[in-house]
Amino acid sequence: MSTAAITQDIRRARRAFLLVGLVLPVVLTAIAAGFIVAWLPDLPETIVTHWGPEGPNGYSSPVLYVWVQVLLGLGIPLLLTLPILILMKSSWGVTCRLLAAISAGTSALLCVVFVGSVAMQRESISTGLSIGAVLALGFGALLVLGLIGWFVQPNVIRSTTQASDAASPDLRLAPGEKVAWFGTAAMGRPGIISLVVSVLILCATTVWVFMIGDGSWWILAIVTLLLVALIAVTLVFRVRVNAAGLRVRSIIGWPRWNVAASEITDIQVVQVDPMAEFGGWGLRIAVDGRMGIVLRTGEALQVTRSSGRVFVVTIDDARTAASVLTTAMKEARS
Amino acid sequence: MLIRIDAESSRPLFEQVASSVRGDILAGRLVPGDRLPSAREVADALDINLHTVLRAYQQLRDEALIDLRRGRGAVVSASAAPLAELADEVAALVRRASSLGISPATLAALVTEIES
Repeated sequence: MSTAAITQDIRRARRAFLLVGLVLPVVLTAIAAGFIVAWLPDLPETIVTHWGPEGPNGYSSPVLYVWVQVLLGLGIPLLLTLPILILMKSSWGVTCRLLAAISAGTSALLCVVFVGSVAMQRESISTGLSIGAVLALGFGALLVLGLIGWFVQPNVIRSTTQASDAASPDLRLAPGEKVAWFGTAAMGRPGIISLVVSVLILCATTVWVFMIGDGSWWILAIVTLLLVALIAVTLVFRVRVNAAGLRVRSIIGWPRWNVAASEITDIQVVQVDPMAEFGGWGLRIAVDGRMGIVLRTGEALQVTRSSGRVFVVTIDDARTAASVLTTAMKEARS
Repeated sequence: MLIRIDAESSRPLFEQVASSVRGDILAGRLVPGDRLPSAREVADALDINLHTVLRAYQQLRDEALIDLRRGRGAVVSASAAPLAELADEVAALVRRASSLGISPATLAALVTEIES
């Protein structure tokens, strides 16, 4: 496929992404805020803003609804779409499509819930709505808009992944000669930035939930801690190739993977685009089923096992690693 | 980092390990600040004695190519940088020598001669 065709595909996908993930949520937010503002004269001085298991337990001025509607209605779609719009210029993947659909769905949920909970408190007319019904309507809207958002976007997967043209140089080992290759896979800058941002968002959300006095804050705290722990063990990996095969191990010692030379059927040096193919950086499973330790864009060693499973790890000097592993694979077969 | 050893060679194993690391620095595969795998790791991967690798690392330290620090392991030292700079010239000299029928071993002996 020509470069022009690829660019055109990505442009088409980006346009659909922008419409579904940002334009639609902004329009929905504007309509929802419009309704709430229009109903302000028809509302009591203070209205219910929070419901607990035993009924209403939080009250505030109706104007608060307008602010929260506008802030969340614009903030969430922006957070979900801006990083993609900035980062994904020359490649595209299924993750982008999913994020836009989530943005549209979440936006629909927020608008229906806010407009619904204001509507049920109007003084002039009785809507007969309960908060439960409003929530059900909200999740219905999330599902419908999410699905529509997913299906109206084109299925474009364009990545820069390609096998290197030149075959790995043969090492031509003499009998009695042994060889081992050692390398390090470390997280690149975009990966670190995206991880730091997601941890900060989670921390801020945890603190916010704690401050508004919601008892469920500890669930978020545990999730945040788990995420930090997961990131810590997946920042740097040591990679070793020798006659036994390939071994990849986190500097903490765990997790680790061993691929025996005898169970390898194919070895390639590939160019990897983490966001487009794996939906992000770190320990990942790609849309096509490949498992990868993808910590940065660029050169990677890719091995196929006899079971058909594919394992990818981003390392510098992957060519040399591939030649050592190819030698080990041939040795193990003979 | 690529390490090659030949058990059937007349050169001592520790020499061969040290020479592999030197080659990696020369080829730019290892740059100052890079951490070398632990001696235990290398010994384990090549199925050789731990002391062989330790001796190789000690020789590299004596040549000021690596720093050995307790806790941090072996790290390529800043003074190893000039080695990579010389790489092209050394390669050219070896090529020129071989075109004149002089083996790398003889060339190495000549270099040592000048040194002394």
